[in-house]
Amino acid sequence: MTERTTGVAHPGTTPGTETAQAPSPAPASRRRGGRGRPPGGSARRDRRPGSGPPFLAKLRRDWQLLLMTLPAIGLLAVFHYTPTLGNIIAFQEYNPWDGVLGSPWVGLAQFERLFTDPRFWSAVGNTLLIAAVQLVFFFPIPIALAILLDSVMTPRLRLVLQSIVYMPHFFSWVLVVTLFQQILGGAGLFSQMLRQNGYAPLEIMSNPDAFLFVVTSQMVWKDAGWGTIIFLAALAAVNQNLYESAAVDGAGRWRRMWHITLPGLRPVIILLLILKLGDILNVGFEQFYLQRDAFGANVSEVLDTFIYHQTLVTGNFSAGAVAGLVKGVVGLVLILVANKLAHKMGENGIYRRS
Amino acid sequence: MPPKPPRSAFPLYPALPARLPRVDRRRFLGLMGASTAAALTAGTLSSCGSTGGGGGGGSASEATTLDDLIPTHIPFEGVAPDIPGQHGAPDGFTSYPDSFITAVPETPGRGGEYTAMAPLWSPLPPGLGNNSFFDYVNGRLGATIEFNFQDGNTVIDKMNAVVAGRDVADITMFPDWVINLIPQFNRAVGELFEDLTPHLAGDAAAAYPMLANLDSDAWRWNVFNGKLQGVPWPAEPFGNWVLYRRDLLEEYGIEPPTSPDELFAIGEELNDPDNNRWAFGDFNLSMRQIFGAPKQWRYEGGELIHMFETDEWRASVEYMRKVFDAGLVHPDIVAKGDNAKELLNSGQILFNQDGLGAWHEAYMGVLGDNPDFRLDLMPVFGAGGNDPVMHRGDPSAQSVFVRRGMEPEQVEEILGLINFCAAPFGTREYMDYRYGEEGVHHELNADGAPELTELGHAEVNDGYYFVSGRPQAVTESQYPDFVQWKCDWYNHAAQFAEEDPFAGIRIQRPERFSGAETPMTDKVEDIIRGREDLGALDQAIADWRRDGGDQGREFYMEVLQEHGRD
Repeated sequence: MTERTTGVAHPGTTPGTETAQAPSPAPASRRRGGRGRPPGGSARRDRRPGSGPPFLAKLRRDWQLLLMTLPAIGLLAVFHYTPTLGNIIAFQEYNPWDGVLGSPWVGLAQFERLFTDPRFWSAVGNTLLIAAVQLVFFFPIPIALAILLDSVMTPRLRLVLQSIVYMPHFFSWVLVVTLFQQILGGAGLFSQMLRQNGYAPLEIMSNPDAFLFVVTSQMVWKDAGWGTIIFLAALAAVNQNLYESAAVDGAGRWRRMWHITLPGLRPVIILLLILKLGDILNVGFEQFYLQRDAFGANVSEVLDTFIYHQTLVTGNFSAGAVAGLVKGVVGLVLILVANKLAHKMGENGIYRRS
Repeated sequence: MPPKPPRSAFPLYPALPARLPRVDRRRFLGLMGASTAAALTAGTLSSCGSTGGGGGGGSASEATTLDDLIPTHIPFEGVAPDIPGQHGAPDGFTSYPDSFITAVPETPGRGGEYTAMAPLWSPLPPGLGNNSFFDYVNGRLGATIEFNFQDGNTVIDKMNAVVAGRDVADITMFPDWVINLIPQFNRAVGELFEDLTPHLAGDAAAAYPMLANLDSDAWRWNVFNGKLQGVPWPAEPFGNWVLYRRDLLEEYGIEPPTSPDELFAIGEELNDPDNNRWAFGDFNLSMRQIFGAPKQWRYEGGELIHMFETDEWRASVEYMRKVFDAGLVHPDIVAKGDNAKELLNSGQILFNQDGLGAWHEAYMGVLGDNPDFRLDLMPVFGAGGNDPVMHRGDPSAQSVFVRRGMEPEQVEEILGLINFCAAPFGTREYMDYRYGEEGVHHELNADGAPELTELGHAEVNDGYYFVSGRPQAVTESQYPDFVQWKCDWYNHAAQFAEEDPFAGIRIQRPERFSGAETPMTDKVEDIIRGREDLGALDQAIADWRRDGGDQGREFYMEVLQEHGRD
């Protein structure tokens, strides 16, 4: 009713409402046809969402499952959705004493200030550069490592190797950075060995030019093993018969990897790549915070450390919220675009509108 | 076992914990200035100049003419110090007294029950009911204080929430740097905490002789918006200086330096990377003082000149660059590692700047294994024949507030408890609230110094120690030569203390002003560490002026004018 009356008042909106409503039957029919649900009464009732009995029927059927999701939904609501509302302080001159409701509104002034701050753009540039390097040099390594681990035939040896490569993931960044400093630093193991043998010491741990190399190495060392877990699971799902048939057909190791292993991994690789893209502005905080002063803010200030220095050090929470909001929006756009691309490539991506 | 040292007595320089937002105290001062300015005029004490919540205001409270608001200073005749402090330096006690003086003859409490909130930089002790130390001191107080301790390393996060949630304890302690970091604290303080002016101003404080004994500057620092709000923790005048390995220098047969050039020469002579020994850690902040730069502003010919704009500061940066270029600084410190203490204690470096409290902390950790281990503070000297300019810390390092809305009798009872906890070194009360009951929580050793028993180690904590401040004194006589050396250094150094044009004025710095400091400090680190040329300094200073420096200058100039100091 209301739609119609507004339609009369503003004729221009009527087509819009119509097109907005139009697609709704389509997914239902696609779902019916495509997914091969058992045809029958329930499918037909699906067409009228909101009508009583089917909903109750579904509830009766699925209530255990729904119940199981409740804790997760509760967690999301308390720790994600509710705090998300706090983002409105991006449009305020927020201070905790007056609270979200009492702080003065300043519109987009905080955004303007952020976008005109050269340090913000420098942090964005550093973040993107680091993310790009990670994407190219870090992302493939767990895949290669997983294939390598998968090819180890002795189960016991494989278990040992896996445990070893997982382990660094559980070290904190403080420990990782200290380890690197102790081994590769100017007074570290290697440097002292070099010195005692009359060579110049290594100077990479405080050299801004070596920064990308150092942080990527740290990341590979710490997390490459952990990253193999999902790929190993995917590898386990590849049908072993395919390998046997291929071997019978005379395919060598490389052929089998190229034509069986990698295609088997493809959906997982694409999925993780999309997630990684959405996360591209989140290169991590601790690792960079810990080494910011060693390499200088010019190369090592990333968005997260920038936000930290904006908010906690000067107490300007609104500026931090603005930067966080921008980060979130960019991440969302990247995920949507990458997902679209994945669909174009015939993959499922992270989700598909059913 | 040495007695429990007052490690946490220096929460301002909390043992330079691993990775606070940087140890440079100036940065802590940097405070969100989204605050409305509640500046206080000198004569009328009326609040003025509220900038209505807009961005970037700061605020200032005047203190020098607030003598009507603070307690009349009545010195307490306690144990006479062995080395009296000069020029404002703390007194030194080279031994524990033979008998302890009773400072508070009557039980202060009337059976009240109160909560207290304080940060703690040590493991949590057993709570009230399971802790005989609490029972003993509460018995001495005649009232029950139940503590709610915060983790000292994250106290800022907690206190921000406590203030914003208006959920304070009956007795609440804030480190001063936390006060400076809490936005709108100036507004919060009057709403949350009792105005102590009627109870303590002028001669009223005579009822609390231990509080009347506290330094007046420290009291002034606790005036907010024309009201005396907090009980101070009088602070030692200086926070950081260069510590050096006196034992190793004596081994080398080298006298401590008396000029920057001598220091450099010593560094070059001792630097020996092949044998894992470097001369220096970082001592940027001390170098500024040696070269004579102001702590923040210098008032000269009607103009305010910021430290960044002085030739003295530039000279100190050039000097530090020279030191780093010469490879005299340990690579871990070049890479901004946080292990300078360990490097100094293990002899991998010989000079390092740290909080003064690091000295006896190092003794506590190292002397047991290495009885010949000796540190000392580098003698204070100037550059080019000039005197150094020693930067004073703020007069009060932490404040204790009483919750608003209690009956006047309750406030008086609480002040009585605070008075008890303000008893200075050498009193019975001091021994009680710091070390518990003799024979139970501590024993006196042959020198008359307390040593915690096993029970004492488990239960004794700094809770009551943090309920009030007391006159600072150097008392760690259990360490060889410590009191003598530290007092000698202090009595020499204190005469060079800077005349700060803003002394005694509590200032919340405008946000843009403190915000502009981060890129500037980053740039200076880049220059000192050789990542940028010295020439980049001019551009950095120009940027700093543009991004908030000049705005800060105006703000500070107004503060001066408001207080008639221009």
